[in-house]
Amino acid sequence: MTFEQLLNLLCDLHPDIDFATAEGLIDKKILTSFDVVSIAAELSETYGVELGAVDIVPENFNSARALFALIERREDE
Amino acid sequence: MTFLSGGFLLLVGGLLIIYFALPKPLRYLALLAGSVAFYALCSPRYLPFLALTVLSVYFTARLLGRSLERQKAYVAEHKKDLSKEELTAYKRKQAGKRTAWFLLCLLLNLGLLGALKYTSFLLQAFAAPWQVRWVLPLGISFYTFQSIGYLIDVKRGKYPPERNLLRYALFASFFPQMIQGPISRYDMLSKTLYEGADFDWDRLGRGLVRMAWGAGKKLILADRLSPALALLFGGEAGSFRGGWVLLGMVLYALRLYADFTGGIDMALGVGELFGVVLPENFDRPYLSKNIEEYWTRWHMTMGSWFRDYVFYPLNMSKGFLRWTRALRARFGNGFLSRLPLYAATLVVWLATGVWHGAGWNFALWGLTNGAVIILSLTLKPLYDRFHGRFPGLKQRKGYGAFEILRTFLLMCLIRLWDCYAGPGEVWGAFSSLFTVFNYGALAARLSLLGLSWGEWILLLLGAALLLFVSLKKGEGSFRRFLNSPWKLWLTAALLLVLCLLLGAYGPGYVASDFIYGQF
Repeated sequence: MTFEQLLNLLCDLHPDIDFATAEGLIDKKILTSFDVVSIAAELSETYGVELGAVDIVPENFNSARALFALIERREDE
Repeated sequence: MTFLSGGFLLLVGGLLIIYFALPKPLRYLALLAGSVAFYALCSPRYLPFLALTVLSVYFTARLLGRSLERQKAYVAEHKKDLSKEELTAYKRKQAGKRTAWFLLCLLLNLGLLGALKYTSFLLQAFAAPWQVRWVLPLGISFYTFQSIGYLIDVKRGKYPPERNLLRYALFASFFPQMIQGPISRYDMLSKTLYEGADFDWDRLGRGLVRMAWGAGKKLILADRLSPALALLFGGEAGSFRGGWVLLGMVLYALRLYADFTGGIDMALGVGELFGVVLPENFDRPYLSKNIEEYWTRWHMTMGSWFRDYVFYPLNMSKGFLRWTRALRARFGNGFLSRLPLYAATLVVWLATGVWHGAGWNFALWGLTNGAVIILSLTLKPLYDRFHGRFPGLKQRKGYGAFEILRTFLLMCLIRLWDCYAGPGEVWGAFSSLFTVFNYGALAARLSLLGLSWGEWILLLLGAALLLFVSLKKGEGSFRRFLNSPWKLWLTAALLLVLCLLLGAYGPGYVASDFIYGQF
């Protein structure tokens, strides 16, 4: 998976958010808890990585970069 | 004992003297002694229940922490000589053990909470031939949830467990949060709870202002409205209908806000006196533009607790993910594939309702919240299409005000479950809003509620002040204004005088309980 693929997937889910530049997605309440679980479920399904509730913290969901880093970590495990 | 009783204020005053007389490393012990004293003064019968929660969670967390440490060391030591599969199998076995300990502790504490809080209601609901009247320790729902949150965080490896039993006991029992929260997180609260703050007149002044502001909300607004609302909602069936219901809904919203935020202001103010930063529980909720936003701004520590420890784990559980996958494969990305998300929403809201109390009304209140949230999510595409046709509407101030008013009235309607005794009465009151047209005659009959014109004017001014403060608080203007000790102390004194002059004290006054204290 590349960062661009992740961006495409996120933009499909939320076309109203510019994930390439957006920061503080959780801290600024841009994403709701429903958005977060939808994204986490989509990532688990699309990339086959096992994400759990423990991964749903602002540090992992505040930006597309942070999400990408999370998926890479999970793929390495 | 509540925040507004003489005993509580004496306890805080005495504790402040002892706290600052002790050397810094020992100051947390004064807070612990004060917390135990507060709880014992409320009722010595509460203490064993609190002690059971403290001890069970402390020792279980230590077990979990030790297991995680051992696992880390084992993996580091055998990383080279064991295969990935072997290491995974080892980790799974250890995780299974930790889950068993965790579940045992969870069962004990939730079982205790459930038994004490719900047994009487369940026996009554199922017409059992006997009844029980068990003691319900003050704040049990708050300290149990705070303790469970800590346990889950330790199990997840978010932070190591607290080693010192006394320090942990203070985290679980810190007295300002025992009456009605907030529900703190260990990693946040521990930053200031144990450090032993330096004496600081400014901070003391800020704490007193916050306390006096909270006391004002409670005494001048909430307690003044209590008798009128008891009359409106408790009168004979059908006596206050139509416009009275609408008036009751709005007055109840004001009372609940003044009561709950007033209590939280007092808790945070007391914490500030000792240099302890408790989490904020409100962020101007009545300015929310939709129900989802409202629940991120009202009782925030409870909402985030349910989100982090119930909603996320449920949605990310293997069963729910499998269910979502199966529905997507069959129905695509439409409404049906979101059923697991909606089911989790209803579970969370049912639990939230039941957390508030034992009664069908609480459960129905929770489910109504969940159903409205699901409905608004389902209708979102329609909403987006509407705004696509009218771009720029969202940016207009008038439309923003409409959204705020709509959300406020919606929340008022849902709270009818709080106000009336059963579903029949709720339905009767709700339907009368559209069938009994007595709205024009209300003003002339307001005296029926037992409030003088002076008191109505005071309530209006109070509500206007709360709105003004809410609108201004976003810009931090009050913090900027109260920037010197004399301003702080003068404001605190002024607020206290206002409480004394304008508070709703009757003959033989005793400090009334806070609404959320019963939860």
